[in-house]
Order: sequence, then structure tokens, then C-alpha cells
Amino acid sequence: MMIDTIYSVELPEGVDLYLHPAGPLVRSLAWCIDSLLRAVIYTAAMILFLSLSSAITPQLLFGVMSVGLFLLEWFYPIFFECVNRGATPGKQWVGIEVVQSNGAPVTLSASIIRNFLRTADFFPLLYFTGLLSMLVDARFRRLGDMAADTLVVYRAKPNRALFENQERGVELESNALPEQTLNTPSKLATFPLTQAEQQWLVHFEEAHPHLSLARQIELAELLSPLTGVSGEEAVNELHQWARQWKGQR
Amino acid sequence: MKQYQFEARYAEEWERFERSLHSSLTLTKEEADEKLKMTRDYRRICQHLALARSRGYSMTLQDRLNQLLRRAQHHLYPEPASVSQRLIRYFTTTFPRAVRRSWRWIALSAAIFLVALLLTASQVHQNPNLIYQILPHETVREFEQMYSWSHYSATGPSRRAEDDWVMFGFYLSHNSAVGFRLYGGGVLAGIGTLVSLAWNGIYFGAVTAYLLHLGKGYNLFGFVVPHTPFELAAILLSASAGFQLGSALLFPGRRPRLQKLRSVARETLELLYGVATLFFLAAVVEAFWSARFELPLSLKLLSGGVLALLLLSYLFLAGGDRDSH
Repeated sequence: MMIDTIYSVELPEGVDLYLHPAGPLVRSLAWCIDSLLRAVIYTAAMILFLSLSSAITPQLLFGVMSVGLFLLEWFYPIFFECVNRGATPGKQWVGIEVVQSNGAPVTLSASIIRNFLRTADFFPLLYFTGLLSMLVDARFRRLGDMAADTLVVYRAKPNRALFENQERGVELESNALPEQTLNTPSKLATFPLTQAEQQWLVHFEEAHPHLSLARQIELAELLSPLTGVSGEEAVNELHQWARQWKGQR
Repeated sequence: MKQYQFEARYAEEWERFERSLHSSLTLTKEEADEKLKMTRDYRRICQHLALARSRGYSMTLQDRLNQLLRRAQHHLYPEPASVSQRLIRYFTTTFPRAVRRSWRWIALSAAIFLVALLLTASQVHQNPNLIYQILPHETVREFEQMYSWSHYSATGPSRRAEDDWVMFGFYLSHNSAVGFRLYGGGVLAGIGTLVSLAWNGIYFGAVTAYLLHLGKGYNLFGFVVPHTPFELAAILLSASAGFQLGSALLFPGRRPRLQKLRSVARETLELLYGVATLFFLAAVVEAFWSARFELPLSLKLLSGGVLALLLLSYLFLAGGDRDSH
């Protein structure tokens, strides 16, 4: 737990909200997508402009395009961060967003500061300064983020679908289990587990639909010295313990 | 209470809350009631999360509630509206006050710019060939062509209306980018700002001295003077904002560096909106007025003077004194 990057913010309501800052790799991926998109927008606009009227002089085209390029370069991220809940299309694609360091949505002024300071983060080439700053900082902030007091974090996803799958998974599983294993208390129940250990076991139970059977067995057999069983039985043993712990019979 | 009972009891409430998050961020009238209810639900779910954590319920559950609250933040804390009010207030009071507040930094920027300009100009004046060491040959040739027309023989380079738009686009994007870089460079301890400000001084000094040497000063000033007030003000203001960022990092005083940087960044933002406006005005004047080569030089110089006077009196007088409020 000490090495994760989770960052917690205390809300006025008195509870801690956990934020998950996004690292340099995923952020540069988002930047690449944004750059690509900008190039596409620019080229498409140019083609459209050229095809719409043949009467256009190259000079006028140059003028309009230089304004367009300027707007795309400086205001594209600001516009999307303010309109699209803190995410440019690239950020949205990879599932990250900009928030204030207190977890609230990014404000216009913060967005302007963090995007205008890109100049410094970009220096001398390809966000070298920004990368250094992100590697040094525990929350992966580049200079612009520090000045604007913003963070780039993973987006909160609508979680319901996952949750429903999981409950369905649990039901199927409990149908498959022999009746008597559900009623006999797990051997683990007599063993004193710390709260963190209890949580890991419950987490195993809730996450098992995402794991292959082989991996489940591999993980469950780590506890074979305590449960005294191996193979699928070890997995069932852990499920049973977790369900009892959750009060699900 | 066991986790399963807890989930069974509140699952419906969470789902209802989550569904209400799918509505748009902007409110219609009936949604206002909904919103009030949402804040109540939000507080209850905050309490549920606190309970789930303290009772050590599973991470999946904790994470679900955590994500639910994160998403709700976008609905509860949107950016306040009433843009026009804020704009009026900004240009009548906030901006001129911010300029007056940072007069020291503006003076510093002006000094650096002028020193670089005058030093270079005097050097190039003594030895015009020096310009080839400062600028590439093609650039020098372009400048020579740009100002080579004779004011007496013709009406200057002929330009059509769409050319004005071309130049407007070019000036706006090019000059604003220079200004924004002056600002952004400030966060590298002010060095970025210093280098790029001095470079602008050197560039302009070199070109001016070289064109004077060629005897084209008449053309140059006729073109440059009308938009100089706006453009110079914008350059100096963005540089002064950049220096303020730099000094926040170098001399944070009693506060932690980062905290100081943040509060200064917020202050300099008050300058930055104005800077963008000034760059816009400069580009308008440059493209549609400065480039009217057929107009007499005296009119050009006069217009530059009038604009400078207007700008200065606005910056010095508008918004009243801060202490009187």
C-alpha cells in the first residue's frame, strides 16, 4: 500500500476521496492523440476551405490558416478542458482528466495557467522539463500543474455494469458449489487475520471473475498451509470464507 | 452490519444517484429541485463511504462509492456563469489595477528590452554588416524588400483587402505566441522570459539600425509606430508576468515555493487576459491601419501618439484606487 500513487483529498463532508494520478506514459499517449487530432482538424479545414471556393487567393488562405493554427495550438486544450469535464479528446480516449488538487472540476483560470505554461514544460524539446518535473513529483505534476494547482487523474468510470456482472458471477458460483461447503465454517475462520488481510481475501473473492481459473488456484494455494487444501478446493475455501465475512449466505 | 446487508440496504439509493449523474450539467427549471435532492444524497453517500472504510468493507465497494462521489463533483461544483458581468468588471477595474500593481516588473522588462535594443542598435549602426551575424541572410533580404518601396514615387506596395486579412492572421498568431512564450518562460526561474525578451530587443534593434543605415527609416517608422503602443504594452506586460512567476520561485519569502507560485500565477492571470486583448488590438491596427502606405507619415505618427496616450490614461486612471474600495 505504501508504493501506490493514490492521493487522498478530504472533502468538506468529512470523508477522504481517493484520486489516482496519471503517469507520464499515459499522459504522453493522450498528448500524441491530441496532436494527431489537431493535425487532422487542420488538414480537413484546409481541404474544406480550398474546395468550397476556388476564388480564394493563397494569401487569404494563409491568413485564415495562421489564425486557425494559433487557436489550435493555444486554445484547443483550454476549450476542451473547460467544456468536456477536464478532458481533451486525447485524455478522454485514454481515460484521464484534469481536476483541481481538491478533486473539484478544473476552472477556466486554472486551465489557462496550466496550458500557457506548456512553453516551459516543453523546453528544450518534447516536454523534457515537464517529464523531469513529473518524475520528481509524487503526484506526476508538470510545472504548469504545480502553478495552476491541478492534477491529471484517471477518470471515474460508471461502475454499475461491473458491479452487476460481479453479483451475477457470485450467484452462478454459489449455485455451482456443493451445499455442505457453504454451511461448514471455513477453516480460516479460526485463524486471526488482520483487517488488511481480511480485505485482501474479500477482494480476491470480488475480483475472481476477472481471473482465469489457473490464476485463481495459484493465488489461493498461497494459503494452503492454513487451509490445508489445494487446487479448486483452495479457491472454494477462500470464496466461502469471504462470503461468510460479507454476511452472504 | 455485514457488508452484504449494507449493500442490500443502500444499493437502490446508489443506483438512483448514479442515474441522476447521467443528466446534463446545465440545469433546466425542474432539475433545480433534483439538484437540491442530489446534494442531500451526495452527503449521505459521503457518509456511506466513511462507514465502508471504517468497517473495512471490500475495496470493490469502497472504490465504487469513491468513483460515484468523484463523478458527482462535476455536477456539484460547476464553473460559475455570468460571463458578461465578469468581463465588464475585468476591463473596468481588475486589469488596470493589476497593471499598476506590477509597475516595478514592467519597468524592469522595459529596461531589459530597451538596453538590449539600444546596445544592438548602436553596434549595428557602427558596423551594419553585424546584422548578418544576428539574423540569417534570407531574413535580412526579406526586410530589405519589405521596406524598399519609395514613398515619393508611388503609393507603396499595392495591397488588396484580403491581404489585410492575411496579415491580420499572421500578426495575431505570431505576436501572441511570442507574448505567451514570454509568460510561460517565467516558470523556468525567469530565465526563459529574460532570454526571449532580450532577444526581441536585439532583433528589433538590429533591424531598426540596419534599415536606418539603408535610409529606409521613413518607411519603417511609418509602418511600425501606429501599432507600437499596443504591441509594446502587450510584450512588456507578458514579460512582467513571466518575471513575477520567476521571482515567486526564486524569492518565495516566508511561504513554501509552490504556494507562492500558485498565488502569483493567479495574480498574473489578471494581466494575461488583458495581454491577449492588447495583442488582438495591435494586430487589428497593424493589419488595417499601419499597412496603409498611401497615408502621410505625419498621420501615422500622430495616430501612434494618440493611441499611446489613450492606452496610458486607461491603464493609469481606470478602476480607481484599490484602497478606496
